[in-house]
Amino acid sequence: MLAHTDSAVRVLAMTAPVDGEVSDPKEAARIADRAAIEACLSGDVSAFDDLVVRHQKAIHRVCYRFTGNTEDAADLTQEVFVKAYRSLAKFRGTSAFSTWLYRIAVNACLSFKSSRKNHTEEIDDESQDVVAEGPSAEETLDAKLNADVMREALETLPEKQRLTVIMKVLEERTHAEVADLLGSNVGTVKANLFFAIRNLRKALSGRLPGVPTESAQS
Amino acid sequence: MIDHRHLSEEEIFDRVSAGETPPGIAGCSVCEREASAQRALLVHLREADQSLVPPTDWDHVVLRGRIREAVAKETPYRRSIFDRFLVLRPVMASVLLASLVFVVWSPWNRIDLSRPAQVAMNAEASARIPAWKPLPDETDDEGLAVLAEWTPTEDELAIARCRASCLAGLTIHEEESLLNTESVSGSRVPSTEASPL
Repeated sequence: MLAHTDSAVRVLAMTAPVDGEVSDPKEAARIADRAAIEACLSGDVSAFDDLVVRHQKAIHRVCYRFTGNTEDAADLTQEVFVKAYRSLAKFRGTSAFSTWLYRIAVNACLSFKSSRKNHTEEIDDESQDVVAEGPSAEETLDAKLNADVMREALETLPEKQRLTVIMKVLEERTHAEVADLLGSNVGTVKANLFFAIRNLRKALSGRLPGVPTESAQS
Repeated sequence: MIDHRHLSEEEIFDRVSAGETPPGIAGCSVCEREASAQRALLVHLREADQSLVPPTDWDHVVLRGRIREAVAKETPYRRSIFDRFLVLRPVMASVLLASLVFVVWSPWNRIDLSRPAQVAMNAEASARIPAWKPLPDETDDEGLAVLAEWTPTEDELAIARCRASCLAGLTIHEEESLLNTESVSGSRVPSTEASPL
């Protein structure tokens, strides 16, 4: 009987996302996640694979945006899912599983940065030296170099500001969503975002076309 | 008189980041320049994001395999037998509650002291149990019968008084050793068979 129950849960987990009876895809995904979690907590480790399949790309994307390289992003993504597996019993279902997973990813990103701070700072120092010795940005940098400069500048931001920029500007989430993920409030998110943009402008120091160092009003 | 002022960076950014044009900046070169600078920054930011080499499907498959291996090393979850039957939880809770209520409010456990028949029955039941006394009843005390039949002589009374006064401060062991000494030395006090002393 138990085997049949597990099988039913497993089937539900596999079929729920394409189930025609649930019209809202978000709701379908939520049901599928819930079923997979139940199956996983019942001892079916393979059910966790369904969760990985559904959320891996999104988590990897945010990690990739944060770290800027695929290797670190892969390590971080793996770490996020392992942490999620360990804490799966604590997931109460008050929010979507994706939101819960994102919170773990955000915390992992913050820890990741702090654990590799020295390494990153060394890279920053080296890259700043290279840029300082090279020709000016306006004359020589093409779109690829502009992107590199921007990523460099992004890495100089404090972690929370960087995550705020990633989630608000690049992932186009609402202020409320970002606040929920970062465990803060909307006002703090707005302030973080504003200071992040200001810091970015300072870090770029006129190295990108159309972006002056200082505000036009100052 | 209308007081004109420049929009703050924050006000401009709120609009620009939402993809809107800040209202009332037309004609103000300072605010327009600030808005276009912020817009350019956001454009560069999105271009930098798009220039990141996206991982291929194969990368995702490899990563999934890594995650699967890492998770397989973790201890799998095991649920107790009660957790497995989640559907029966409300039923079990109801049964437990009903049992509790039945035990507390059971008619056999309820004693109505206002009813006289019940009071009498309780009094009768308690009367059957004899009260505890430190000494047995006179009818049950065999020692009293012996004493009643015994009429001590003057000698026996004198010996008894002497013993009482002499042996009052002795322990039982001292008393026994004294009696043994007396019996060995042959100066045992003569006593009658019927004497309880």
